[in-house]
Order: sequence, then structure tokens, then C-alpha cells
Amino acid sequence: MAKILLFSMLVVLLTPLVPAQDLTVSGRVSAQEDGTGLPGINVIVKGTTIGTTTDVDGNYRISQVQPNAVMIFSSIGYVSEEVEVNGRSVIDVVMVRDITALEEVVVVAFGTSQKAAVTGALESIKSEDIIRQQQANVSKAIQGLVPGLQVLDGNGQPGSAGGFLIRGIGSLEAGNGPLIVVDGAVFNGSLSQLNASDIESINVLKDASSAALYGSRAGNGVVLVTTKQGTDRETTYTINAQAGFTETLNPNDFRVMNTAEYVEYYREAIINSGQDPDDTGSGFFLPVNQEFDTDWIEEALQTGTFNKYDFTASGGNEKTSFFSSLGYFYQEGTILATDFERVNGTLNLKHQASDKFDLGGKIQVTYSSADNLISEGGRSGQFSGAFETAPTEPIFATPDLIGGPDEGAGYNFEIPSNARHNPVATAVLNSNTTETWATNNNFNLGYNFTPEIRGEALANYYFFSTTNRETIGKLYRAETDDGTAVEERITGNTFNFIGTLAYKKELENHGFGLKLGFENTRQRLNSLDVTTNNFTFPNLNAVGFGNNVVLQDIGSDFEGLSVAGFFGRVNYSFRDKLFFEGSIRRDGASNFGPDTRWGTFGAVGMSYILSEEQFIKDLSFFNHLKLRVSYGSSGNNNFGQFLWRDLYKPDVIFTTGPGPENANSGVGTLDPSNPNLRWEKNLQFDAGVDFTIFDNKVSGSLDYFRRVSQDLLFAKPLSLTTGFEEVIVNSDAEILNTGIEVSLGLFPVRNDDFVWRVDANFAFYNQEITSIPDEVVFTTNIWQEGGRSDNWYLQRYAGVDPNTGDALFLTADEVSTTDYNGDEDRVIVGQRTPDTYGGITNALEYKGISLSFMFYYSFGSDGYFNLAQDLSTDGGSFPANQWSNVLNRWQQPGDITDVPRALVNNPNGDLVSTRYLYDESFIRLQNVSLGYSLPKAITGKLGMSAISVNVTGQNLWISTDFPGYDPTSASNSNFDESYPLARTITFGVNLSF
Amino acid sequence: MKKIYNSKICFLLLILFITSACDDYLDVESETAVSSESVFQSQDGVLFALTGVYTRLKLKGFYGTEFALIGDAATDNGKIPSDRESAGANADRMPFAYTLNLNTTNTSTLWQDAYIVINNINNILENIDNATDINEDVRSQVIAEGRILRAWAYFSLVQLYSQDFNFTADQSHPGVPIVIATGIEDQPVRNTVGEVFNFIFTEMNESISVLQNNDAIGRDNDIYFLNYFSAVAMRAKMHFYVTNYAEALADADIVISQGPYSLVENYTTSLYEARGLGDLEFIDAWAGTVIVESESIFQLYVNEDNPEEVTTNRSIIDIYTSNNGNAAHAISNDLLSLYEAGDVRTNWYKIEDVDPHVFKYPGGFGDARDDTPYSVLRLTEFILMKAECEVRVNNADNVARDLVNLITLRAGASPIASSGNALIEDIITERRKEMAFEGNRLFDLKRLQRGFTRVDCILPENCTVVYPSNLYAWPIPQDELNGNPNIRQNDGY
Repeated sequence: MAKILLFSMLVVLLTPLVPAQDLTVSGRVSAQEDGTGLPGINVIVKGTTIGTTTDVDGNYRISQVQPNAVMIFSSIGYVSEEVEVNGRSVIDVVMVRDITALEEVVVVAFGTSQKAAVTGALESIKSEDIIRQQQANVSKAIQGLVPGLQVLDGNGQPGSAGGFLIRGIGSLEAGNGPLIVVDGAVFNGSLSQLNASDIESINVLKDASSAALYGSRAGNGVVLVTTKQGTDRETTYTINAQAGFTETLNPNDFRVMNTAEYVEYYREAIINSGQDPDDTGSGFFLPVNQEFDTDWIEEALQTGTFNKYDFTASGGNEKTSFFSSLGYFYQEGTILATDFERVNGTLNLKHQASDKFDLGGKIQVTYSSADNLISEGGRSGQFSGAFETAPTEPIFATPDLIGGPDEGAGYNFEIPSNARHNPVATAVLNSNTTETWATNNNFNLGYNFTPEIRGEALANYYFFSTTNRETIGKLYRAETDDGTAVEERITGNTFNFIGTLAYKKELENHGFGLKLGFENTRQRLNSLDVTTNNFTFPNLNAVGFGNNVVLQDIGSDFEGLSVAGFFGRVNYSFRDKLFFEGSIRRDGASNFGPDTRWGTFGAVGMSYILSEEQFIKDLSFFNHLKLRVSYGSSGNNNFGQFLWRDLYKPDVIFTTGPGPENANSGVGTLDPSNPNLRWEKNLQFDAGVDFTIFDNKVSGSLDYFRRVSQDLLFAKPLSLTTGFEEVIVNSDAEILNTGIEVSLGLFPVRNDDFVWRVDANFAFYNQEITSIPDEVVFTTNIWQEGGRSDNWYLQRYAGVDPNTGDALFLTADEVSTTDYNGDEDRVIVGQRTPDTYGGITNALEYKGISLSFMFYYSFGSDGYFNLAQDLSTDGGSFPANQWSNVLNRWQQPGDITDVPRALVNNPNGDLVSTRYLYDESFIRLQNVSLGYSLPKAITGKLGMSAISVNVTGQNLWISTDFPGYDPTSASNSNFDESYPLARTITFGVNLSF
Repeated sequence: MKKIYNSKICFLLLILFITSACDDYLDVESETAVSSESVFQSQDGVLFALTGVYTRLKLKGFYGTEFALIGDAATDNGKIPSDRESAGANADRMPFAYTLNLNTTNTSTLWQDAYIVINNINNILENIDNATDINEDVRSQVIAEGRILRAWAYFSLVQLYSQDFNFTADQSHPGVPIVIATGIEDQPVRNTVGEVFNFIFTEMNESISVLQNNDAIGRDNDIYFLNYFSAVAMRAKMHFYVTNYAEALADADIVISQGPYSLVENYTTSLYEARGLGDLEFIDAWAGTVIVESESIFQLYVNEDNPEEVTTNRSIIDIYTSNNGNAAHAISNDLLSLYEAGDVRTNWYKIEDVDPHVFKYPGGFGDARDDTPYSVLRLTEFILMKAECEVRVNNADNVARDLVNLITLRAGASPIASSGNALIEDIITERRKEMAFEGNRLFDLKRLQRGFTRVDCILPENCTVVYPSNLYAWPIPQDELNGNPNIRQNDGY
């Protein structure tokens, strides 16, 4: 060892002593696919420390080059080129994209790693793929880009978040969301606070090995977001402007009845029930002649606008670099009176103070303001309330209506079909806004004690303040309180500190790495809400102006969580082809009692680059082949913060009359405590293979995983005579998730003019409850051994008796009956999460023109279409409007249909059954992007380094059997009508100079 | 070597330091809940806990909605309005209480909510001695009030979930589990009705004697809290429903002759502006935030603003009030037709849409219009109780007639002139008319071992119930069966 060291030192010392006849070499490095200059390419004279990087146009100049030297051109994502100088002074190089990206550096837990050395399953998403998706919330922009990361659509409200699910559902009572880490620090805010243009990459850690350093909280996987940094080049500026419009998607033309259909249908129902629709005193008065035909849904929808403008500046020198940006985003929703606005500012700084000491920091500030739906469900929302409102009702009051046009701002509030709620007036006279200020700041230090030992510290402080204001206007006559105002203020902060010490040693055939660290996180949230009503002036609707306030209308809430942990990781590599990794972490969290709060988790992983072996090389088939295997454990504490404490609820106020003088303070029992609560545990095995074949034309990876979730929290039912319904315990419940994830990249065509690249990812999942203490039956779901946790458990609908028009249901033993039971006759009929989902992206480039289109698909899940149930009561909810599908009702003996006869007071509306369960599989053209980059010759004359224009479409097309607006809106147990996804078309210009 | 040894020690010490500091760091106290140790360390905390018990009488399953409603809805008094507010459209308004289509999921949550009250009381009784500063008289009054409220919760439970007291000669039919200690792992069996009532009367007798001479807390006969007279009134009612008419008479006598209550003399009426319905005529004594004040023995003020867990949005507010135009429960014509023309009490019912809806508790008009006072016990009930008992125990028809005619007179109804068994029947009918929608009819029918027939009945309601009936002992909720394998379900479910 000492000999080797001595030899290396000699080499380093002797190199400058060799006599030299220096040359100055210059040239241009361009990309093979479009001939554009490539900035930032490393140019190094082989065997020396002489080097430079190309400028923004791809030009370089390098001096002190020996005539017989070899120059190396390299960059992440390109195949390195070695060029012999042979005395030339001008060397132009064309670089080929390397889809294996062997040298690629990826962000891993607490640092970065060469992609080659990664032993686990992690996936990277690059900046351009995120920016291409025109979404206000980054979480939705990465849907379909990663195998194994399911982005749940959430709703179509601009700015709203999509939920994440990594490798299936692994818990029964606790949370299933992954840990989100932004620039190294745990992030508790909403991803809507980030500007997509600021993001460098998003990495998803799926298996135990890659996530293990976040051990305790990584049971559901980890999403690492990294924002852009400056570079040591001259300052560049970019301006991006994107504008367009957005509208509701309605693939299967879902609609409710118009006036003619409505009158025909309900008159039939009234007559079928033995009532007279022409009798004004019957309670079922519905004459044939109607004055109005209002399409309430059409009134509730709008075409929204989309605007996004970014300005960035970045640059620096060897010592200091910076990235700064300012972004503005505004999107109007597709539903009346909804929108989202955001302003972002970011400054990232890096400074190399000396050879040993470096520091950096980040300041990121966001302001956002959203006008949300007035109510997401029921009659009082502008969208949800539009379905049941009878088309026979006018929007505006006529003089003969009670109240008349003088009252209620002219709107019609005599709407019995909707409990007087007028959806248009709802949007105009009421409001529901959320304003948020947030700032996320990092300060980090690094110190190289020796070339092998480096210490790092990161301190992060995140603060947010949110104000929700909900008002019901004084003139909104469907409510009787003379106006209501609710204001809720929430402030929260997270402090995160991470200290690490890393040791690295490279020997000829062996590499060692060791990292030790400490982390703590402290999260706090306080909220205050006030409700007042009875306002004097219609326009003064702030809480302070309400004339009626009582003690109980003021509320406060608190959340607090502290986590502290120690961790360590060891790496070993042999000849850069065999890699081992082991990690361990011990964490304590405040949501457990003192005896059970510490948990220890760890993982081991191994990877083997087979393509480095001669026998694989001899096959001359694989450009790259790597096998990976990992196994480890991780935890989950994503649940209630004080479940272990024996607590009393303080605000059990005993009122003996109106007003604060009649409020008597009381306390009462809260939940039963469980001081023995401990971490949920996930054990995960992952095996994968990465490969590149056919002359770098096809690359891909394949992963198999087996994730066992143990010690799952379970609500153990108690005898109600104890005063409690259930207690949360760690049970012997166990869930097994298994799956296969595939990603493929290929170049069907790749030549100097034309490049066509296809990226596809597929994931196949299975989930099973392998053990559960007791069978648990919910209204539409059952947990039992051998079953899934997300099944649908419903009585089956069997259509309509052709003789009587009555609804038929199947009993558990397949007998058709009109007698709905809904209890013993339920069976498992479907599942809520898909068997397989994925994305396929085609990217074509021809000279300066680029076209990409991406499909996202999801197959195998079923959705309960709650809106259909609300709107298919077979006459029972007269005079509420109904789904147009109900018009296919049974009318006379012999009619074959699946919609029962119409009857007022029909009880069918309450009968939960498979009648409303639909396959929600879909395939969606999620993104189409057409761009053109002007040739350098033109941009140069304009003083610009790049000019490009684009047209982008989001959610242009969808194919599904689900009859509603959006197959993803029905997927879970949320029984409200959610905000449908929007189709967005935008035009953009990008300048850099 | 020594140096390395030292640095190792230093390192270990450092780790120890960080680890121990961590444990403090990981202690996070909730800022919106309080530990039970702190609640019971002082007299104030104990009193707060007792007030919390009163609040939980307003839980949805108890007087918040269900127990207040079922006594009438599940009999020939109630009716689902025939208009759009039908059973199907309003599952949260307990349609099954009318249709009597009962099963283990379609049943009252009184079971759960009464045991929440009981558990809170058990907690107080177990922890009261931790309060070092508690005054001895306050301590005994807290214990007495707690035991009485607990007995009342058990009385309410057996009324709904067990057959009537005389269903078996020796009261050996199933009652409810008597739980007098806390413990989340307990899975008790049902005690017999006889055992439950033995427990109830022991508790009542011991506690009433404490309250008789002790008001250290300073309740001062406040109608919203217990006192000696309201406790005696409760015991009178308990005796009455186990058909111990002599004891009921004795207790009713105490309430009537010694209690600080006076009958509302005249049911006068005025016009009140009811939101959304214009001016309506209401009986003055029943309008406002305090009802029948001079005769009220125990009432609750059920307000919409209570913390979510205490009442629900579909509280009694939406059931028997007019003020938000939402009254969703109608009176059957069977009962309405019993009132004579000109009976002032018909002002309790107002036509909305098609049917006469129940507006007996209109609540405050104006600011507190969503809040509803609910009468649990009032003097009139004990006048009628005494009248019935005087006939049954003493054959004192004259005394009984004079008492019941106090009630008919102020309502503008004809006086009752019958005697003997006919007089008993007339008193029962008068009781049905006067105490309508105060939650008693079902339990009177059970006490009298009678079924009923609804003439004004809309299918799919159960229109006829013949005694004995499984519908007189409601099903125990499925959640109890899930958590307690030892519980025996009532017959028929």
C-alpha cells in the first residue's frame, strides 16, 4: 500500500517536470442530434490537471497542450470522447448522448453518488421533463414519469396537490405518503409552493437500501427534490413566458336532464306514485309548460386562462456561484370563481472560501393565493350544487318570486330542488380564499479535514403562514344568518438540522466510503379560527364586522412533532464493478411514549456491473449490464401525535343559554391512550437489473420488489361500555406488496438530423393483507386475511325486473331479489388502486424542431361514482335534477333496461350497490409539446444564445369507460363531487442570453 | 494508547449527552389537550370534569337528538313528512325511528353516548381523591351528582334497550351491563333489568340524601344542573316507569309541594318572526331560549355551536324548531286529531309544505335562533304523574281530576269529568297531548304493556305494533358486538 502511495505521489510530482512545447487548442463542441453548441462540457488534457469547460455556445479554448496529447471531452449524459491532438490547434467535437449515463451523478440520501454505484432502486426525473408539464403543482407534473411512483390526481383545482404512493399501500390506519426532502431537508409544505422552473431534478427512492438513511420515516419511500444551482461560468439569463387557456374535460359527455326531459321524467314518477302533477296543493306540482331551461352545469363552468412567467439569472466564478429566479403564475380554474396565483423568488448561493472550507445557502420565498370551491360537496357548492338544481329554475329572480329581484342581489333563491341554493349566486356572492406566505431557507457548511474526510452541516428553517377566509354573503338568501365569515390562520414552522462526517478512500482496486450523521427535526403548527355572522353591510364581510360572536366560535389547534436520529452508511467497491452498501439508523419520535419511542432500521445492498466482465464483453451485445439487490427495514410514524398520551379535551363547554355569560367550561375524555405505541415497520427486498444494448440504442431497467409491512397500527374495537369505540394498537396485522417495475428507453431512429426517442415505464402491483387480528367491515370495504386492503365490498346490482320495473339485487349466494340487504349480501367486487399504470413518452427532434407526446395509463381499479348515485334516485329526490342516463328507465312490462321505474319517495337512492361502481381504467394523452429552437446563426445576430417557442397541451384526450368527468375523481372513499381535471393548451417563448 | 482511550471516553460521553438531551427534545406536550393527571389535581379541575359530563348529555345519541326523538318518533305520535324530506333523502334524520326497520346498524347511538357519560363519571369518581385541595362538601356533592347522572344514564339505557320492567315477573330479562370502573379492556355481560334497577335505586337513594342538605358547589336550584328536587323528580320518574306507583306518588308529592316550581298558569300566545316562514303564533312559555321557566325542573340548552363531538349538525335543532325552516319531523294525524278545536297547544304544530311539522321548541328568535332548549323534566309531568298515581294507589278520583284539569284548563281544552279506569285512560291521553315530543310516549306504552296502531301511516313504516314486541327493546349497536363478544343481542335482531 505504501508503495502504491509513493508511486502516485511521484507521478503527480514529476508530471510538470516533463518538457513541453505548448499549443493553444480551441474549437466547438456540438450535439449530435441537432448540431447546437453544448455548454458546460468538460475539456481535459489527459493525464494532466489542465482543463476548461465550454461556454454557452459550446466553444472552448485551452492552452498548454502538448502536440501529442489526448484531450478528453466529457459531460453527464454524453459519451466521453477522447481525441488525439496531433498538433492541431482547432478541434471540433460532436458528442453523442449516452443513455446509460454511467458517470451520471444522482442525488441519494444525504449526498450524491455515481449512478453506477447505486445498489438500490431509485429513479430520477430531470428538469426539462417537469417543466414540459404545464401544472401549477410539481407533484402533478411528475405523474407517469417514474415506474413505481403513483401520483394520485387529487382534484383539478389549480395549485392543488396530487398525492404520492410509492410501491402500494402499506398501512391500514397510518399514513401512506412518502417522505419529501427538498435540497437535503425534510419538507412539510405543499409542493405547490415550488416553481417547476427552479427544479433541477426529482429523485424517487423506492427500496430499503436507497431510503434507509431516512430509516424511520422512509417506510413509504422518499421523494428528493433538488433545486438549481449556479455554475462557474459567465452570467446567463433566461426568460420564459407561457400563456394559454384551460377547460373542463368531459370524455363521455356526462350531463343532467334539460327541462323537457326533467318534466317528462318526473311527471311520470308522480303519476306512477298515484299523485297528480297538475294539483298545486299535492306537494308534487309540476305542470307541463315551463318557462325556463337553465343548464346549471354550463353556468358553473368556464374557460380559464393560464399564465406563467419566469426570469432566472445564474452564473459565477470558481469561488462563488449563484442561481436566482423570480416566477409568476396565474391560472383561472375551469369552475366559476376559482383560481390560483403564485409569486416565487429564489436565491441559491455557493461559495468556496478555501480549499478546505465551503458554504452555501438558499432563500426561497413564495406567496400564493387561491380562490377555492365554495363547498366541495352537497348543495352549497357552485359545482356540486349545480347537478341537482332543477333546469326549470331561472338564475335570476322574477318579480313574482318571493323576495323578487330586489332582494338577494337579484338572484333566484326560491329553488326547492336545491334547498334554495343557487349555484351561480354561490360563486358570485360567497368566497373561499386561501393565502399563503412561505419561506424555505437552507444554510450549509462543508469542511474538508483531509482529502478523505469531509464534514457537512445543514440547517433548514421552513416557515409558513396561511389564512383561509370563507364568507357567505349577507345577500346570499339560501342561508339565514345574514352573512357568515370564517377566518382561520395557521402558522407553522419546521427546523431541520443534519450533521454528517464522511470518509472516502480510493485504492487501486478498492473504494471505501463511510458516512456518519445526526439529524433532528422539530415541527410545530398553531392555528386560530374565528366564525362570526350577522353582517350589517353586504360588502363588509370580514370576521370583525359580524354582529354575532360567541365563545365557541373561536377555536385553536396545535400540532407538534420532534424526531431525532443517528445514522451511518458504509460503501465498498471493488474494481468499480462490484459495489456493497450498508446503512443503519436509530430514530426517536415524540409521537411515542418514552419506553417505545426509539426504533432502529437498516439495510444492505449490492450491485455488480457484469458488463465489466470479459465474458459479457465478448457477447458484444450489452453495452452495459448491472445487477442490483437490496434488503432492509424502514419505519412509519405518519399518524396522530398524541395517541400515546392519556388526554382530556378542554373545550367541552356546557352552555345554558345564548351568549358568553352562559358558557360553562368543562373537560371530557378524549381518546383512549396507548403508551405502548411503536413504529410501524416495512421490510423490503428489491432485485433489479439495468441494461443497455444494441449499440446504446436500447436501455432499461427491471425491478422486482417484495415489501412486507408489519406492526401495523390497527383500530382495535372496544366494548362501547368502556366509553370508547376503539383504541389504536400495533397489531400483528401484516400487508404484503409485491410488484414489478420496468422502464425502457430506446432510439428507433438516431442520426445527425433526426432523433426519435421513446421512454416507457410500466409497473405491476399486487397487495394482500397476509394477517389481521379481526376482520373489519366498513360500509363499502372489508379487511380480511388474504384480501386487499383497498377492495370494494358491495351488494351486487342485478338490473331491473322486466315485469315490474323494480331494482334487483343479488344475494351473496347469487339469488336475484328486490329485497336490498346491503349487509350480509355484500361481496368483494373490485379494488381502488390500479394493477398497473405507467407512462409512454415519444420525443422527436428534427433540426430545431422537437415534438414530444406522453400517454399515461392506469388499469385495473374501480371507482364508486357517488355523483351517479346522488343523481339516480329513480324519482326519490324530487324535485332534484337527475343524470340523463336515468331517462332509460323502465316504463312498461317487457322493457329491458338497467334503470328502475320512476317513483317519488323511491328508496333506491340510498341503496349503495355495484350499480354505481365503474371500471375507472383509462389512458390519457397527458402531454403534447411542440417546440422550435431558432438556429444559432439567427439568435447570435439578435444577441441571444437561444430562442425557442413551443405549444403545449395537457390532458388533451382521454379514453375511459367511466361515465363521469374524470375517472380519477371517483377512485377513493371521498363521497364528494371533486373538481374535474382540466385540459390546458398553452403557447410559450423561452429566451436565454 | 492512553490518548485513544481518553478520546473514546469523550466520544461515549458525548453520545450519552446527545442521547439524554434527545429524550427531552422528544417530549412534546399538546397545546390543545390536557393530561388527565392535571385535570384531577385540583377542585377546579374536578368541577370542570363534572361540567363536561353535563355537556355530554347533549351528545347526539342522548338529548342532542336521538333519545329526545325516539320516544315519539317510534310511536303513533310521529310521522315522516310526506313531502320531499322523505326517509330516503334524509338518512341523518333517523328515518328508521319511524319505519321501525331496526337492525344492528340502524339503531340509536344512545348506547355509546350514555356509556361515554358513564365513563366520564367513573373517571371522576376514581380520581377525585387526587385533588388535594378539594373541600369535603364539594367532594360529596360532586360524587352525589355524578352518581345520579350515572343512574339517569342507566335508566335511559334500560328504557330503550330492554323490555319493560314487568316483562318477566322476576325482572330476570336482560338489562344493560353495569359498569362502575374504567378500563378499556373490559368486556362486560348484561345485567338483568332487576339488577340494573336495584343499582339505580341504591345510587339514587344514597345520593339524594347527600344533596338534601348540601349545596357547597352553589347550584342554587339552577335548572341546568342537578339539585335535591330534580334528583327526587328523576327518582319519581324511575319509580313510575317500573310501575311502583306508590313510591312515584311520594316523590312526586315532594317535587310538587316542596319544590320551588309553579305551573305555567295560562298558555298565552304571541306572534314571533320565524326566519324564512314569516310571523307565526307561538305559546309564550315555549318560545325563547328558556322554556316553561317557572315549572322547569331540569332542561338542556342544545346549541349548534357546541364542539363537534358533542352534538352533530343534525341535532334536535333541526327536529323541533322552526327557525331555519328545516323542521323535518311531522306530527301524525292520530295525535293531532286528539286536540280539540281551540286547544292552544296546536300552536306547537305548523303546516310546512304539506304536513304539520313539530315546532314545539322554537328556541330564541334573532341571535340565538339556531339553539334549542329541551325540557327533560318539568312540573306538569309530575302533576300528571301524581294524578294517575292518585287514582291507581288511592282511588282519589277527585284529587286526580283537579290536578289534570289544571292542565286542560290552561290549554283551553274541556275539563275531564270521568272516573275510575276511564279517568286513568283520560289522564294517559292528556299526558300524550301535553307531553308530546318530550320523549315519553314509547316508554308509557311499554309501561302500560300496550302496542299501538298508526292510522296516519305511510309505507314502509311499521303501522301496527302488538305487545309484546321486539321493537320495544332496540337492537344493541354492531360496534358493541364487534368489541365485546360477551354481550347478548336482544331478541329479533
